[in-house]
Amino acid sequence: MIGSWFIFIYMLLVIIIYGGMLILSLFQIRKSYQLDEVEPYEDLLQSEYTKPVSILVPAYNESAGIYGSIRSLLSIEYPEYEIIIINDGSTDDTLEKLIERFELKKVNRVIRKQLETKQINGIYQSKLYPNLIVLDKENGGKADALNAGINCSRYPYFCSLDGDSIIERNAFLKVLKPIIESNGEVIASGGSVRIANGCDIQDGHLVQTGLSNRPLVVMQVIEYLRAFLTGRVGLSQNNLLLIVSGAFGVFSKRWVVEAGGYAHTVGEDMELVVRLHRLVKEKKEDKKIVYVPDPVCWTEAPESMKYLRRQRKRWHRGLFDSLWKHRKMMFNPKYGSIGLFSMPYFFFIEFLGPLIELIGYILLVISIILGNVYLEYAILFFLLSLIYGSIYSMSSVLLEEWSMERYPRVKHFAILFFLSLTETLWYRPLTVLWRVEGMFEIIRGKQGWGEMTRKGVSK
Amino acid sequence: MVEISLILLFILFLSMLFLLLSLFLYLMVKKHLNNQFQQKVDEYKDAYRIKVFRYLQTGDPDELGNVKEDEELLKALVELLSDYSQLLTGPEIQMRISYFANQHLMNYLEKQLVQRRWSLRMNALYMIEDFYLVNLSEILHRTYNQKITTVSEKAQILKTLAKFDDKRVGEYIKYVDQNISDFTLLSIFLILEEEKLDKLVEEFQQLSTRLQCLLIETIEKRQLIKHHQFLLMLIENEDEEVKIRALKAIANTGIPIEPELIKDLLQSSSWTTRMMATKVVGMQRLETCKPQLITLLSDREYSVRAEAAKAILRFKDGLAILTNVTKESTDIFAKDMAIEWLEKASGGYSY
Repeated sequence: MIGSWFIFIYMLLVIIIYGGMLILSLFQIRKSYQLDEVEPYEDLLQSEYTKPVSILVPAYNESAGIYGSIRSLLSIEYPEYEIIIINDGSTDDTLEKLIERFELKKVNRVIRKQLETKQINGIYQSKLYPNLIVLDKENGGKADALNAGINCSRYPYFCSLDGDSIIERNAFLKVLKPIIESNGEVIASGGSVRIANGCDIQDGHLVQTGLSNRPLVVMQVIEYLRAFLTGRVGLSQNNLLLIVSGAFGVFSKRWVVEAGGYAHTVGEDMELVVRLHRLVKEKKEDKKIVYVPDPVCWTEAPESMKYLRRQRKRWHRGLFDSLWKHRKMMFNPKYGSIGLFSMPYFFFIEFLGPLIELIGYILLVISIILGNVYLEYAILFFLLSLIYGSIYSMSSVLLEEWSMERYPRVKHFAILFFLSLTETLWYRPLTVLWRVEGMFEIIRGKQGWGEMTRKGVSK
Repeated sequence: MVEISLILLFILFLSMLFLLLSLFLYLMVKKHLNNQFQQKVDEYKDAYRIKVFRYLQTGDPDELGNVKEDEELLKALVELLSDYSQLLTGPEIQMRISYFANQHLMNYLEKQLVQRRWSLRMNALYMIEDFYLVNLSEILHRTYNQKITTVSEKAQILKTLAKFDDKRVGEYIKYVDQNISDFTLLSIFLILEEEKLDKLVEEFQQLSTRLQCLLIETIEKRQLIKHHQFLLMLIENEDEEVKIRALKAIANTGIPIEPELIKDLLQSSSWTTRMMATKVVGMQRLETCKPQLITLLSDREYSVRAEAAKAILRFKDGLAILTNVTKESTDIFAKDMAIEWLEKASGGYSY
């Protein structure tokens, strides 16, 4: 009995916190609804003062998709940038393919060894595109590859990118705008990530936003909307953001190098952001990490239960890794709002939430079986989880429509809305279960990535 | 207890659901209407594309017919003009765009400027700039001086006023909002009339360091070599940042400088000063400073070494000097740097 009250109170509390973040986002996003797509970025595009960016693309056995993604990167709208592909000891023909397609030639280039990495075997430059560099190195994992890329990069800002992401043409302008216009106060900036499945993508460019006809994928679309539109905007406003997605984020190189670069962990992107926050607080500087709500990057979502389960388990382990590494910050007033709010939020709500929810679901089943008095508890829990899951997801879909309108067809909007109503009935319990599985894996000490086969989203 | 909470929660849930459903219906209908509106606008755009082009070529307003009553048509024309204003340039075209906007858009824009939503106000400001609506300057001044105006609006207004060559811009810049970024200010400086810049140079001492640095950069970018004495004076400035910017401006504008003035700076304790002084030596090919450049190839700072190598290459015998370093130098850093730059020089596709 006490247990179930504990769960109810916990859920109520979470509902209130989510509600607060939703309201914070509401006006922030709506503010820029229908803002001209081109005008705000015109100066950035024309000025030679726009800060140049190094785009780092770690590649491990990506022979199939790498050409397409690099091609799309070569046509982004940005005045000055270099693309550094880091071949992390691929065992397939990734390097050979790159050499052939882009007419690469071996060059000598001094690498500033600011971060320790595995050995570099060679540096290549394209004859066709002088701003395309390929680093060939011994296998050392994604973090190691990114660190090698940072060493080799020559611009003050860098962006890490997954080989399979589709970037909108003006993505860099949008994400760098806050950095450029902050006079150095903003040291990292992340953009919204959306799901590419179902969209019309040609030659690595998004032609038309669409929706997959698989409910499992559409549910992920809704989940992303919810995470990016409500959670992150609210957190970013108060400089509490602990995640700049691995799919799209731009960082100040100086700060990342000082923080020690990427660490070898499951969720290296989140861990880096936590570390940057920590460094900023320890140096007592007034620096910010911000988040741009505009969708700028489209990524392929898993279409089957099997790979989705793996992904969620991995994400949860990654979350734990970052929190555990920086547990010192938890409730530590020295780290200000990050220590007193962000860390506890991510631990008690994002990390422990699934466990408590799962216990709730189990109690729900037991109560139904026992019947009688317990039935009321069952209904109570069910109602709470409806608000917790479905109501908030429906609100996010409405928020998207009210403030962004990235899905032009009425039909898609309706599908998103009604499917989000069913979240609590099937999708939520599944993800809860997977995340709890992830927690068990942490206890068992499982390492490694879990692979995902990609069929490619580009035509 | 449980029953009460149950009932409360149930009511809460139902009312939330009801609220969301009504919002959904509202947004759905709105979306449908918007889509229809946009479709009509697109149709008009297709139909009027050539007519607008002809109007801009000939200046005959009859080409466009009667616009006033039709909201979709007006929007289509605005979008077309906006597109053309990016593509076609020239005073006549600008005048015609401006004429059209003056005829049809004044009321609309005035209303948009006082909208509650920030994005609508910004869009209106962008349009005023693109369509060169000098007639709206007074409203811009009023908005600029209002307390509630946001930084991004202020920045856009300042830029527009600079473009219109407004009298008060210089004063505004002197007391500019601290939150307007360097980047924005520089874009404004780059389009500011030369007379106004000269005035700011005269008042240099009264400006904040930030504005001083931006002003020097503007002189450099716009190649205003008539200010060369001014720049030479600044390399003795106490402020490190001002000094570096002045050196950079001298390097990039090619203003002649006495080698004696530079020699001390090559040994400065600040690496940024050393780097910029090195750049000046390279750009101006100051023979007497050449030996010092070779020493700087072993500087403890990477950027200074790189700049030194680059500077050496600008001399006639630069290739020979660097080749010599690769053979004879005992310093690995100097050697590495020389090898990299030799390769760049011979590669043909520099980067």
